[in-house]
Amino acid sequence: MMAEVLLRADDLVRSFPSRGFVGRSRRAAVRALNGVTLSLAQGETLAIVGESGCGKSTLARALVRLIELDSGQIRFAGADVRALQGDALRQYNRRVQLVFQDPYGSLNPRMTVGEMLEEALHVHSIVPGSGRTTRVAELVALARLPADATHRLPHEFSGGQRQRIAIARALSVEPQVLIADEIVSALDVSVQAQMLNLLLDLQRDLGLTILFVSHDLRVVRHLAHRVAVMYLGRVVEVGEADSVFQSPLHPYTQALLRAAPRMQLGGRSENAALAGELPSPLAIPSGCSFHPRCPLAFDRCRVEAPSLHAGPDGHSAECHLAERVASPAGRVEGR
Amino acid sequence: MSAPLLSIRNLTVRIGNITPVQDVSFDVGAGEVLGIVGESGSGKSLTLRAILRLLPDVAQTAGDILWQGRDLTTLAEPEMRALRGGEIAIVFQEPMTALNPVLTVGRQITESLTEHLGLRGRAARTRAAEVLDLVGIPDARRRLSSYPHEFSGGMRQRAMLGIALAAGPKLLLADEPTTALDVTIQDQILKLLLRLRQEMSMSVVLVTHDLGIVAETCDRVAVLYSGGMMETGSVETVLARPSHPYTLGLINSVPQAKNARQHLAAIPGMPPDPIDLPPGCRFAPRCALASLDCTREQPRLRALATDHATACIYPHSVVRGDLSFAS
Amino acid sequence: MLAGTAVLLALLASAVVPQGIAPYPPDAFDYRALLQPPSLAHPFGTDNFGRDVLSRTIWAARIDLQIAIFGTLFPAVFGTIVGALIGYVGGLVDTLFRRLVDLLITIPFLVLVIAIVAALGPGLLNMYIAVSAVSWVFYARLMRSEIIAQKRRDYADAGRVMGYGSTRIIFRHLLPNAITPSIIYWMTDMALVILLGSSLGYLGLGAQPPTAEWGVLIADGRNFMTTAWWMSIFPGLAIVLAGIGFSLVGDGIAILLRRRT
Repeated sequence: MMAEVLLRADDLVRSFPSRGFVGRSRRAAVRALNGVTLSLAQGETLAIVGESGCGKSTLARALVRLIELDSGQIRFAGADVRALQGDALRQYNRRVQLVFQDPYGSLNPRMTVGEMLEEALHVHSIVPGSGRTTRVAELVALARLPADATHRLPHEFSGGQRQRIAIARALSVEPQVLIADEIVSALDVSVQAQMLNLLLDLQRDLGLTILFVSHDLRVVRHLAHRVAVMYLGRVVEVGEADSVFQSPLHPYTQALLRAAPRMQLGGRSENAALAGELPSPLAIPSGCSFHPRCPLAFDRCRVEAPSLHAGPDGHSAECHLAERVASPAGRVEGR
Repeated sequence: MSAPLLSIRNLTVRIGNITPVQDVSFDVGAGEVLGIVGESGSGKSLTLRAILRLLPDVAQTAGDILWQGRDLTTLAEPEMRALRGGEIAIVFQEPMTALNPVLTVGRQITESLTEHLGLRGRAARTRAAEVLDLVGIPDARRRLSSYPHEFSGGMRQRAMLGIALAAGPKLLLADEPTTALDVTIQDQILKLLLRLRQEMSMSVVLVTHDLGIVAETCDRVAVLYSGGMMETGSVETVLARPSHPYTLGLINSVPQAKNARQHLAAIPGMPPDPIDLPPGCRFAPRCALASLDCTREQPRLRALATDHATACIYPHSVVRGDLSFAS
Repeated sequence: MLAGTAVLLALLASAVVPQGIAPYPPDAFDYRALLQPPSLAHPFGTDNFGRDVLSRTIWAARIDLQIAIFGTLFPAVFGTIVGALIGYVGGLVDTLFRRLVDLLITIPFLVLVIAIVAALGPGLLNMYIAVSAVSWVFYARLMRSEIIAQKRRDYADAGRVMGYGSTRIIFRHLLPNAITPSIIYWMTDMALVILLGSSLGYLGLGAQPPTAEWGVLIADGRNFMTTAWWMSIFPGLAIVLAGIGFSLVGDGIAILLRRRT
């Protein structure tokens, strides 16, 4: 059951200076990542769930070195990812790939699908020149694109197809890990379903390890083995998907589950799942950053930031109350 | 069902040489929430705007739009203006583009109050503060003088609702009001909508792509695909016993707990290009039940039972689950 | 686009095989036909040395086309490459570059070029040097802003995630998407450089008589404007035509390139 840990992140921190008005003496910073720790095991799908401002996209980009971190450690197969340069970094890029959220911006408008894929094969010397055409055709088929896609430009494709082109491109370098940054969020429901099926198949057929970033709990539930919930730059809960969805430990997770639309008639109760708004990231609350909105907050929460309390089966939450497993306040589906 | 408040019959919108809305018919009763569900290109937003004649000049509208018996398509513009924001209000998906950025929120509300209820000065401002309070904006009196950009996303949406509801409309048209919001904020806004519907005895037409929202929030639902109405009925009936393959496909596309990590019965293919529509039923190319008859002519909505209508000529195959899409 | 190409082709033909088109050699004097108005024998008339204006105009195309090309080739290529690099790298280099641009735009272009040519001495080569030294900055500035806009797009990030080096990203990915404004600018610039060359020729700082160059031809006719207007007007029209040709082609290229996105 315990598969080998491929990718491990420890206490990642990254701030962005806020664009304050000229003349403000205090240049406040936005802490996009405020100490993120997690691990990704071979062959699993780990979902990162959270709403806007939680830092999940920053995390995804930091893991592929698109964004540099202020502090923290990333280890991949034992190597220190943050220290990689030149060729070693290129090797890392081969093994950990990223697909972006926006299918309209992430493809070069002036390159055909074939050119994009061939370039990857060429730069990384994956197949000798003669084998490239065949390999390109294989990748196109793998991503379930029409065979004539090779000669066409991105603008001739729909959003869902473009995402598949992006996936084909990522797969062309034969990665071990695929980081999917909200890749289905911009797609229609029926197209999304096709994409989810594709991801499931790719994982099964290629043995891919997937880090799936999303804000949609339903999609996450459908794909993930394990789930990590992020809030204001930290992982507030992590565990096996079934465990997290059925017995959420953290009040924020409970609220997310209550808020997610379900195919249940008249399922919406009177009271909102979660009151209040996300605090300004320039002014993260003291103690537990969730306490202003938490229905279960008490004195200690205001003062002391909770640490990850590990429950059974590696299901843990950053909540003072997690020591006693809180009763699932969220309604559970299909039971 | 008692006489509907809003009655749409054979609404067709033509822009240039495409017909993004074709022969759409549905009713909205008093105090009910009707969900119009569809994906991109279904024409759901255009349908909504057509009701209030908010389409660009190049669009040609045909069909009947009856509001409490009056035909809106032939109404004179000044009367139409009185209706907009008065008896019928509309809110959009993106508050930042729908709200006037250079006017304070308070001003935008009092504008509506003056226009539709004749309130002015202090009376208007007091009522405006009440409205902001009603939509759950804390510190309402002070926030009257805030500008839209000073609000967060969820608050802006509340402000937009406030402006829309200030004059106490009987019908609220909501075009994907929560799509751009986080799920916890979406939850707040939807609950607010339901509460307001109750308190103000209002009807709501909620356009969305999310069947989950329809299930939880709406009383009745209308399913749109590529400009045509595929199925209408009560949410209970349509979701439990869908009688159109597209509806079934949509339902199957939503991930649910019971089929985690398994294939979804997705709908194969893609929606048709509006310039190059298939003959007959627009869904036929993707439909497992499609026969030659389906391509002969455009099927029209036919009643299956009271308050359940479908545009499929094989509705009973769908209901009986004879349908299975390749997964 | 078509019209522009036709014009440019005509120019090109004139430049490459003037002998085939022009009825007379450019320096053929005919003292019996001085200052003749346009006629069948001399459609553009003759000048004060009896030379056929039409022929001289046609022969001048060679020089002026050279001016258009050599006056823009170096700045375009060098400026584009440097601008792309500066745009991508940013930082201190970018700040220095922007100060350079600020400095340069305070001085009128023509004045600067004339100053340099005056220092180096008249002649076409010096004119090319002068123009190149100044003009590359504007190409660089244009490419810099385009590259900055493109490098923010996701596909630039995608290139980095794919492990591609900066050089490849700049030149294979970003540049093709950033180049359209530069091409249009280049076309316009060619027309403007012809004008520049002609202005310098008119001032005696560019091509030197008896070389046939449109500006020189106009200068030759300046003392005869009232008596033999055809000496200056026709070469002037040639300049206008060339300018229109380049502009039309530039627009056409822009439309072609735009269709790909």
